Amino acid sequence: MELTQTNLYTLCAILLLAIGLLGFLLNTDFIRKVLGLNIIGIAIFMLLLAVANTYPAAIDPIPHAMVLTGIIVAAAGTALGLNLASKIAKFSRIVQKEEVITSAESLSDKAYITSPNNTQERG
Amino acid sequence: MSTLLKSHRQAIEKAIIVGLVVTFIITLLLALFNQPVHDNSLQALAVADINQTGVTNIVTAVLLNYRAYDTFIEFSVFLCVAIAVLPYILEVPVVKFQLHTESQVLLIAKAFIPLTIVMAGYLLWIGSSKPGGAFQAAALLAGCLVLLSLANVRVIDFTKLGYRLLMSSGVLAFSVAILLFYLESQAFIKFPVELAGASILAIEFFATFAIALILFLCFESINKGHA
Repeated sequence: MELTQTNLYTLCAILLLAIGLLGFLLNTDFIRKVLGLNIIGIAIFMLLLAVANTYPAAIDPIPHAMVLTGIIVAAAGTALGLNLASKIAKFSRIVQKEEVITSAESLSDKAYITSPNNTQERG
Repeated sequence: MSTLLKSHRQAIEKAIIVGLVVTFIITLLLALFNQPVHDNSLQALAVADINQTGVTNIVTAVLLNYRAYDTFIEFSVFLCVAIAVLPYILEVPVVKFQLHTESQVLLIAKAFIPLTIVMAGYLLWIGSSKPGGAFQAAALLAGCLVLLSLANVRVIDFTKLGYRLLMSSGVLAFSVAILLFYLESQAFIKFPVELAGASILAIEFFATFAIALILFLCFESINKGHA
């Protein structure tokens, strides 16, 4: 196998795909998962561009058009995912606050501990 | 054995995942380098009919003439995303920022935005014959808007009807073009040769503003929507 431009780009794309896939599967953090998905997407774009460059004298325009539309859709999908993530974070913060309040109320009902410091530590 | 599994569960899981990914990558590598070489039959077809598309840049021809329905559906998807992220920006009370001193970002914005707008116009115009077009111009315009937003200058109020119409103008212009040509020739998304260049330029013009606004909306909804 000689190292032409197409082969080099294909190898880089597969490397990027591996990095993205590992990042997507090994991390539990949502934002890192979104980043991993983005890297997988970029790897696939790169693979398409490498295929388009098989004959440098006559570059195939169809993969180029697909990548051009794909980039925009990937950006939009990332924005939607990040919006949902921050919405979930906001909501879970509200739920945590409510849980702290209700646990404090139940504690004061049973008259165990009434100092506010203790409830803050629990939250 | 079971205690070992329980105590090292995460490490074992990670090892399995890494092993599977490595196997997948090696298989992909072998498959990709053993497939038959890509034949350029589609490229030859696209080049052969280029003078009937109204543009001379082949990527633009594929995007907006040969596979125009692809681009049309992509604009629709993009508009759907805009509708989906719009509520996040609306529920936040609007904060009016007043600039007391000249910030560095505003200085950069003042220097670069006029140039960038000129460049976006050039990219839009050159798209018919050289690499360029609506997407690239829209990315530049969205960059301008992001720079202004970082400098706390509020240029776009997404609650106004005009901006929402501009946001959907890409899909609207495309739909109008498709409808007019359908009424004339009874064929779905088929541009007549003499009008193809003008209609592609009109669609790209509106699509530039639509995509720029939606990209900026995506940025704003993450940036300001959750302060």
